[in-house]
Amino acid sequence: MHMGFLITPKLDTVSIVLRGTFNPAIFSPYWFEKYKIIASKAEDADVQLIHPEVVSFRTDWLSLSSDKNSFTIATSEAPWVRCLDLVEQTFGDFLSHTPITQLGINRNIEFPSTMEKNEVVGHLLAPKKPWGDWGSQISKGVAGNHGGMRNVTMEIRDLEDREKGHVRASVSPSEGNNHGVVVSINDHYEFSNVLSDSTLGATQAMETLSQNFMASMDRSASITNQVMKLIDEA
Amino acid sequence: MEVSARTKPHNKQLEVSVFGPGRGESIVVHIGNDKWVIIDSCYDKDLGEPAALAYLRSINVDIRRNVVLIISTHWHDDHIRGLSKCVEECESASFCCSEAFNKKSFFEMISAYDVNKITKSGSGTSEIVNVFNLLSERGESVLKAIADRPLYKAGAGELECAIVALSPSDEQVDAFHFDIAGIKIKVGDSRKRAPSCSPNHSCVVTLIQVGEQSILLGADHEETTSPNTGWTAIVNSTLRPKVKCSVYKVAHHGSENGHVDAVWEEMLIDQPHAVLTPYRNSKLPKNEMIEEILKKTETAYSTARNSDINTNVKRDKVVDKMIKETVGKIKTEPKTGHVRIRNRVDGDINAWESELFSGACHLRHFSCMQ
Amino acid sequence: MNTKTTDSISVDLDRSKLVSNMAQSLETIQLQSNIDAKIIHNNMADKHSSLTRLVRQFEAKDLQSVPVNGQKKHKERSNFIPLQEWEGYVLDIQEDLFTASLLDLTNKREVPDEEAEFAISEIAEPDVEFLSIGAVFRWVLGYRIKPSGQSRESQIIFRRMPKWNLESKARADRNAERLMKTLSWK
Repeated sequence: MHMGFLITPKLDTVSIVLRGTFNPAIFSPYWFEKYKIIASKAEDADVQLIHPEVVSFRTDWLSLSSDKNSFTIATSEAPWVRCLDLVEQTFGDFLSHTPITQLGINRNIEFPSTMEKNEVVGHLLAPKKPWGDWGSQISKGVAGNHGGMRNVTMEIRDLEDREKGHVRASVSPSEGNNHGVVVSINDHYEFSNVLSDSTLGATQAMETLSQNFMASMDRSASITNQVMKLIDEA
Repeated sequence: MEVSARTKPHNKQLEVSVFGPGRGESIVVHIGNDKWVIIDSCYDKDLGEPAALAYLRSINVDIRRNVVLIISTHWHDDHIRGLSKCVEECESASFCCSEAFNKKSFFEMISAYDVNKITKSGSGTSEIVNVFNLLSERGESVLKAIADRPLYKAGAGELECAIVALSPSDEQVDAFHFDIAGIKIKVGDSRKRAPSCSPNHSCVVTLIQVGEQSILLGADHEETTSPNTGWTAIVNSTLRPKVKCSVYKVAHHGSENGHVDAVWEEMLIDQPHAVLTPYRNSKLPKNEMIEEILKKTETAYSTARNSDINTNVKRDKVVDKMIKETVGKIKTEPKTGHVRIRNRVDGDINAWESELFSGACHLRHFSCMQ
Repeated sequence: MNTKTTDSISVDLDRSKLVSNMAQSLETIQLQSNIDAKIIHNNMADKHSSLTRLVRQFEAKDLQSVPVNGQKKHKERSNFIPLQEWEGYVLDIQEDLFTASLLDLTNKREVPDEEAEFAISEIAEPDVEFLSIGAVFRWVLGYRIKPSGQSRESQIIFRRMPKWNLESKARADRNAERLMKTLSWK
């Protein structure tokens, strides 16, 4: 096993998405450097845009973007807790008044596979028979070229760890011809009381993030390993 | 748990079992009639649970009913790993800790650090907070330990047993509160793990008497310059039972500060059975102290042969190479060793017998760390 | 704009639409002085200028480009493949070394039962000020993969956790008070 995965991932991206009311112009690399929220030097940041309506920049490990309704940070470099710490510091220490109505902890893992294995697993997750004649048409033809499963999404709701929300996991083939597999997990939380009372700010979201981030990482790894197991045994 | 260790003592057989992995220790005492006492807790990483519970389960003790007392001599996670699990599972046990904990500033300190739940290795105060939360939910009292206070007495019809705390003294309690004030969190402080306080002013030295047999558990008690806080205070106490003990859990991992001749001369029989647990952070015990202890008794043991061994965790070869290139080596805790000492209640006070399990050794075979 | 999802792909798509709608022409915007931020100008010789440029949305590939007066600035991206991760906390600090207790996260150990000595020089300069007894860090070993090649890398990254603030202190104090009230001592 590699870092807990059955198959070594080619790419592993973690992102935290917040929805609420934001002032994007605050989120410049200099602001983060000034308050020591990140270690990276602001002058080394790769800035796409800083504007009152939207901001987008990258540092050595981080992609950050925000508009008036959302804030996203993403990284493809472990340790993932850097994302957690950045968001918690930003909206815990400095901008705790920011009304945050939704929180998403996302993970996208791409790992290698083969055309043959994808064919087997695709058929397992999305059998063609229920599709009738059309399904039979999909079955015919040269393997890999005739089509098949493009995306399967499973969701669980009514979770005990949240007032409202879901965990959604999708499996799809990679883009391009590399025959990889992508597992995407969206761990979604909603805070309905902040919708009605914006003075509640970011507290609930930050507490939720703090309590659930590690468990979310473990869960996404576990779901991905389950898919990897199917590929491995195919 | 070694198969040979899985023999339960008879009802009239006393037992002191000491467990130690190199940081933290746990002691389990059979006071007769299948009644047990647990003092502190350490985690047996091979068994994945507190060493005390793993052992008691292996010898078919009904831990829900037959553990009568749990004593905590520490508050820091590193020293009491798994204690909350012990309290949770040993439903019939009273919980006892230092009177020093009974103060608002202590509760504020442990609660403040425990807000820090975003680290995998814990806050440093997780165990003791969990213990108090459990007791609070159950509506149970905390038995406070203070110098010369009885903690337990066996009822009528049972084997005559008395457990007495010999520390902390009033002055130690004050010193503890002073130390706690020093690590108190202020608004604006960076979050981190609670640091340990040394010396451990809250530690509870325990004297257990069953019939004619006596056992002294020295916890982390150290000698100090004050006559009211160190071992001298205990030795000189007019209120402590004037008995000489046959079994001694050596204080403070065999350190120089924990070693006081008067304790050996006035509180212990000649050639008692002595057990210590090594402590790798401070590289204890040192060679000189091993020699001192062996002068006092030949029947001296350590729960681990060496508390500082190189890691035997199997990793990727590239990872191993990178570890070598960066830190050189990673040290790991050895297996949790176990020293077990038994005697009949009505046996000769010199007739105790020791057994060694899982890496425990005679003190003469202990290899000090460099 | 879809405001009901936190799935990062959907959020990025929404944002890219917004950006491309705005990126019709170059525009100069002076930030209000009470906003604590600096604007980075794509022309590095003039980086302290308060000019901004609206840029076209880029696609996330290994190479990304930022149009600067019609020219593109290329930046080599790298990928870090982690092999092993520990959580550590500082036990002791000497002159040029610190000792830490380590919890092996990769092998899912239950307790921090490993220990190592690190050279303080191994810590990246911005993180050195976070070194203190009890400070928590992550130690990650892995490969850095760039188009130009691959190298082994060890990273010590101190946690920049939120500070104890009035709210967390109040929460802790409430908890302490609850325990004091509900626990009886005998």
